[in-house]
Amino acid sequence: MRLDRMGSMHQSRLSFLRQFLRRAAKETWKFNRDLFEINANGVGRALYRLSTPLRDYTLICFSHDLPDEMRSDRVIASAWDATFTLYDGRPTLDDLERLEKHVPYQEEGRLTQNELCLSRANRSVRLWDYVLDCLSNGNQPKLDRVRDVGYLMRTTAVYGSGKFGSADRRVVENREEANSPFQLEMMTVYLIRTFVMDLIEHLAKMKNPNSAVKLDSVIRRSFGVGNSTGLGMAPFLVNHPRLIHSWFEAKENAIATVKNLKTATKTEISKFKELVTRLKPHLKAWQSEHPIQIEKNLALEEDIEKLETKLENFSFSIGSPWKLLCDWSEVELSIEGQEMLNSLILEPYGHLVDTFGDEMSCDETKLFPINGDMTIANVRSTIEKYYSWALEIDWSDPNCDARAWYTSEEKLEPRLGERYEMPELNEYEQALQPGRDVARAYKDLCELEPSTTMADFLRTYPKHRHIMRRCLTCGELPFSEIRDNTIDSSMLPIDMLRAKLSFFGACHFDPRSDRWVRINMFKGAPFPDELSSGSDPENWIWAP
Amino acid sequence: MKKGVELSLNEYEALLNKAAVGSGLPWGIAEDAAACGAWFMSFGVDKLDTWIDRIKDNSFWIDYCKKIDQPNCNKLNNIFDLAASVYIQPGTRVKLDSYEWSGQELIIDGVKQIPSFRACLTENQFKVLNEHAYKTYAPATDESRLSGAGAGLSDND
Repeated sequence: MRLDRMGSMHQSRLSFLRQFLRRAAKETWKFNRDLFEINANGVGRALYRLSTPLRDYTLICFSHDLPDEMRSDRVIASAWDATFTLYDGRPTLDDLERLEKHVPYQEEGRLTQNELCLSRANRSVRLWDYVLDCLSNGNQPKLDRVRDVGYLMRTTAVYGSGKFGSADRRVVENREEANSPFQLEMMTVYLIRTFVMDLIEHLAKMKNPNSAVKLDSVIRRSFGVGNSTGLGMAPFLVNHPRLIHSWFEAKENAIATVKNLKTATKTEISKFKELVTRLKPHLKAWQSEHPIQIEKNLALEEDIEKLETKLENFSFSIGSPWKLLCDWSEVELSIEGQEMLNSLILEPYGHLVDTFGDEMSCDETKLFPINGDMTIANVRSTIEKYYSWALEIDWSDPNCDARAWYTSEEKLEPRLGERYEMPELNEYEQALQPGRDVARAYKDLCELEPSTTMADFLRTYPKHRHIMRRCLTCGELPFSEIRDNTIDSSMLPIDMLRAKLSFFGACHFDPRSDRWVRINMFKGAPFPDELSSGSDPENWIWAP
Repeated sequence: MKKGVELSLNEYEALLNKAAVGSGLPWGIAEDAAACGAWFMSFGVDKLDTWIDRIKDNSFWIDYCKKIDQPNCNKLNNIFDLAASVYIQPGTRVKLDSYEWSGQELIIDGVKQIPSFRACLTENQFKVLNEHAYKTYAPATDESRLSGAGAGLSDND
């Protein structure tokens, strides 16, 4: 759990969008477009319904005509090209009228327990007008140009789990289709992708009814949904230690299961090699202008060539071939390459690893208990075992506590500031620096007799209660903590964002600075109607 | 049901947590105070006004946390003690005045409470909680706006 490795993770079979598509295909979910009332300016509403064997979910879309000067991906934005909510069931006209007064205003509106997610999206200026012009003039957009951007709209937030009055997670957590993390958020994004395709074709037709054409099916598939992710995801990783543990543990268990196999069949080897050959075109379409990502992608390109060369003479009949290959990667490949291999080796083994996806949720509704009778000698040894990295940091060095995480009063946007340039931020600092806080608590623990009870320690030092609870959690759940300094001057928040986004199933990570990143989701995946007609829910990954 | 503002239970708990921190409770204690307040709401215990008064009292919550951390010698004196007891030993049957915890559900004045995942509060309660929570937010400045999120203000590319 180091930041550089987290910042190099890739999607895998356990990623949440993969789990979502797998279930939708297996249970043959039905898809319907129940309403599409949008005018030539792109203003109106639409309804997209997915029906599982037990219930309906409807994406309610509000489409707007947004002036360019208002287009911002940040939380502080106040208007968007399109806004959405995922409705639990089939909305009535009264529901639509009620939600039309709230959903377009996003954080300023209020939802009810009937709504499950809230989202919004902005058009890609690089591609929107180009594709609209092509289609309205009867032409298809150039595939290379489509692949370079990869989406026509990018979401700038997908809120769930009770935010802004929507249904509490506990309302849906016992539904099989919603039990794994972020399944309803994945459903929301998946249906947004279909809406965006319909919208661009509809507007092309409105613009030029006589010559407009629909998107070619191959080009259509090349569009995913973009997403612009800012700092809000980083606190999530720190604030949900038990959940994060279950994600990483599931993936580690899946990797260990494959590495423990003594042999591989011809079919498994062939599947693996076929995916390796897909990576080059995938990388070609992975555009980024960020110097760090450019360097990492160049290394990954070299890694893929090394892997191809290795595979030319690699014998899968030698004992534990996948372990041998992973051991080799740890010496020969960059961390990006190692993590890509960790995802790749899972692909031929869905029958062995997919069930680990069922273990990626946890009940976070109850706080982790603190045993007040334990001695602080025990707590000190837990800290020495799991937080030695934090105790070794010189916290008096201004570079080591250079940053402060805070929430702005401006629409509660999460931000990161330079502590020594903006000392007023100390007053608003969030509890997102476990390394520093555990070192401070450890210092105070060392001042007391080892036989002192935890309850007495916390009575004397109530300010340490949060970090003590965290230490005890980490002592039981080893993947719950990022073992790096989250306020160091060289820390890159995008590493945290990337880890979480890889668990979502994102690809084409394109950092725009050290603290926000654009990505693509569902690029190459079958659309709902294709999925209902039997399209393979798995074999589209690492599409260019 | 009170007329006013309706929140999801986890949204409510997050608001309580921020309000507790904003009124001066340390982070860890605020978490326990918020969990207590959310438990009240979920089971229909109408004590939000008392809870709001209490968040200014650091020592009250330090004692409350000790009851959670060392539950063996607790005596039940008030509804907060009951919440602490149920929180740490949910399977144990306890009784206090008109409240009875059966090990699974709360009975108030002989009436079983159906657990709810919604929080209904008055406009004034919502306002007071937000006033406390607001103290945890940094003031808006141009410097913060331009540098804090690592992103510009326009995304037309």
